[in-house]
Amino acid sequence: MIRIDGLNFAVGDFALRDVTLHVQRQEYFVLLGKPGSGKTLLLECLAGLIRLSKGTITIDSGRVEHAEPRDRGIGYVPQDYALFSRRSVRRNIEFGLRVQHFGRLQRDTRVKELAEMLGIRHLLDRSIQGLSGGEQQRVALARALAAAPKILLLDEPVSALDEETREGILMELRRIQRQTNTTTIHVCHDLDEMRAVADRLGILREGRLVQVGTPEEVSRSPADPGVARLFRLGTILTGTARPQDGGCHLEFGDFSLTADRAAEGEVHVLIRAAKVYLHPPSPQQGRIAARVESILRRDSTVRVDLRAGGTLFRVELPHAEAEALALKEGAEVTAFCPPEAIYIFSGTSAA
Amino acid sequence: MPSHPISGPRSRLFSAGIFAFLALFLLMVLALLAADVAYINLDAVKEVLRSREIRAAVVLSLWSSTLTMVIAIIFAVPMGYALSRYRFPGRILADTIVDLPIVFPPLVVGLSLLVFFRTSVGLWLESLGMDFVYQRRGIILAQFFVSASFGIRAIKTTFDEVDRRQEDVALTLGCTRGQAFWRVALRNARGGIIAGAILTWARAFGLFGPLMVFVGAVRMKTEVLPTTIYLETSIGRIEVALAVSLLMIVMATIALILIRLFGGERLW
Repeated sequence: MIRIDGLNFAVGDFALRDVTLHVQRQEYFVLLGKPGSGKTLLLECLAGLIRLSKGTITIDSGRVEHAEPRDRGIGYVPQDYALFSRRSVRRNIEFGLRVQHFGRLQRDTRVKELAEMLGIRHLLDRSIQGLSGGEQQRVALARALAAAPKILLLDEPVSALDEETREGILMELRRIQRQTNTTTIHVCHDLDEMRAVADRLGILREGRLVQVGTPEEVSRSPADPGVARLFRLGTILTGTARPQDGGCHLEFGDFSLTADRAAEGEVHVLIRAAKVYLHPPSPQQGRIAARVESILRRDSTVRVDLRAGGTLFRVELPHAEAEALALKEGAEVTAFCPPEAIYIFSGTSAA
Repeated sequence: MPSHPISGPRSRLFSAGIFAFLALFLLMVLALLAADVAYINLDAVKEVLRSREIRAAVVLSLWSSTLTMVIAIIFAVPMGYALSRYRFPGRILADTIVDLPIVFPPLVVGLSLLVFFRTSVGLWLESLGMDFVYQRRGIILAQFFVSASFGIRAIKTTFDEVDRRQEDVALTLGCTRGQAFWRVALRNARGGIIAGAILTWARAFGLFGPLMVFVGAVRMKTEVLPTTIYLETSIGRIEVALAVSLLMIVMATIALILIRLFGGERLW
């Protein structure tokens, strides 16, 4: 459906470098990355708002990298929505239909259909000024969908909204995408937002696409320590691996662990926060004696930062488990890292 | 007073301070006008209204400054857009040259135009029938060179402030670049275009020095109201000169309000 090959574009000191990506038809694809990683720039390249220095973009087997934005069959919702402030909600939604010379009857029917779908029918004759963030978002979405684009590009579509509205809009985005079968590329920097909508995702860092996969695939096998940090999977440690019984023995200075994957020499290791077990203090082989540094109670889990000698690492526990342990700052505990809690990155350098 | 939901003593003090400056300025202008009104007599006013030459100068002033405003805005809109939206070699130099007529004395424009039409290019243009020196059309040319910069500056600043993303979205919705400009950018820049039109018209309406140099002060031909004021003052008829000044002020006030209304602003 969408194929980007060897895309390069530089602006000032920043550049998108050798981006290659394939998005399937009717897929909900999320481009995830920190602010300044090049997500918006990549979206603008796809929309045809900036010309590529190098590379190709193919949509439905047709090359479009030199095509005008209007010839690409896209709907675009920029981060600030960019609604036409001097037009009513209705005029905003039907803008593209008017430009493309749709008849009045067709325009009215389509506007009503979209307004119904997005729950903004009561706003049609209102001015853009005075609409709430969520309402503006819906109007921008209706405007982008009006001419039934093949591809919908959403740039941080919910970043300006409060949490409750954000959740509602994300559910609607997913519903509308399924209802209209529109291939969607959604740019965001928030992990929860990505998880709420993504079929697959691509992670951008400093203008490079570092990993593409389903959220589960990326969680299971992060490409590098940077991806693991972005996914908040746990603690990245650097240690020395020594082969042992088909797996390896990992030495971190303050403690050592056993992994079931073979490795040798200096390695970067992810200790998965959700897979580490905590127990009351009990000196045993293969267990880490640690002190609780800080505790953060969140919606679904309790995040505990532990210190073992000079090494800090993180553990995520269910509330019930944390309560059973009666955890408090400064308390001594024992951590157990089973083999599934240990992920050794390929290569030797940390990102 | 601003419609603010909370207006405690400090808020009222702040508003009073703001309005004190506005009131002081208006008072100073009104004091000058009152002095003029007190100085002139009814006979001077009657003479101004009866004079065929002054009536011709009124008409010439109005149409020349209005035509200049229209031509200047036709130039200022694309120029302001180009300077605001495009990055091209020499942009800073071009932007600076646009501002030159604002900073140097208007008289220099008149002298420069006079000299230009004595060069081979100028003489060639004259041979093609485009003669401006001591001609009515020269009024438009001089007014344009002096006043267009004000319009370009105002409109460029507005395009700088208008959200470019709206044009980007319009492009994805089926617009060509020209349609995006026409349907979105121009609509959003309406306030700046009105401001540019007001500044251009006002500058052209009050222009005097370059006109004296470039087109002269020929009664019934190239005499505009500022020239009338100069001519009447030079022969000692101060009352008539002041009566013409008051007429200009009334005309300017009406014209500026009309430009605002034409641009969609409300009276209140």
